[in-house]
Amino acid sequence: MNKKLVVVLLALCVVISAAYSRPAPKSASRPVAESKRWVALLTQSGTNVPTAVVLENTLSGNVVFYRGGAGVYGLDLDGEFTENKTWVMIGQPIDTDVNNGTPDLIVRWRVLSPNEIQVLTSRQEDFDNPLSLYNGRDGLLNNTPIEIRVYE
Amino acid sequence: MAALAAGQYTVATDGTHIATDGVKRYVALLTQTGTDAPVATVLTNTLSGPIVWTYNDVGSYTGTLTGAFTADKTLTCSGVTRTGRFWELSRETVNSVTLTAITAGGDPVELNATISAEIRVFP
Repeated sequence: MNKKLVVVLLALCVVISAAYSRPAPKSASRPVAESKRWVALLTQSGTNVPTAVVLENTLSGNVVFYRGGAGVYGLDLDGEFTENKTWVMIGQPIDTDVNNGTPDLIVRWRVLSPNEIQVLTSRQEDFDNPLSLYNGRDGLLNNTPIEIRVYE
Repeated sequence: MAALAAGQYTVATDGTHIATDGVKRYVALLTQTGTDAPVATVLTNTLSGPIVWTYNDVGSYTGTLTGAFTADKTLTCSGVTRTGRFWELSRETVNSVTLTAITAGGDPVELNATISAEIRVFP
């Protein structure tokens, strides 16, 4: 066989082999921003500080909890919660003991400082009187899901 | 670390993370005050372009991006503001999503807050 033909055939085999061994192209190819995440289930009872079942934690350390009063809880980690880069989602529980199971409990949050995210719990009736807008109640977190992301 | 789980992204030669799970994501902090349209601080956007936010009426705002929000494939979110206003982000058409805000009593109200919002469009 012609040496040139052998070389061409070998080269063709290499090219075909490389093409078929290459991973399939992915359907999305736009850049994704990086973030750190903390995913947990929060529970709080009585006048105790909340506890968490941590499902995922890629923050720089462990979140520390405190109770600042009825329905007011701090999730603390020094310097972690960058302004305008911190994204939080908290599940809204349904109280089956009152209002025939309609959503009656309210769980809110705010980034208080780069060191702290505050979680506030109350009942819907607490909002009927504007003067009691920030009245909080304990005992409303029961494996309540929370996700915190801090983007770069 | 990336916002996506292992296997859902790859790292490009320039160091950026590339989504490989086919899910398009829009993650933003949305701030709305008075009768203004929401202003987005975009944290991630792998949709086909930016979402344009407009004001409709009390507690009603629209996000528009042509052809972006596929029926039965678009996941949105909801929550409560720091001042106890309920909000919901929902798909309206293939071109738009609607952000609505109500009081605990069910009445429309201006959002007047910053919320964490996320939209995912699955392949």
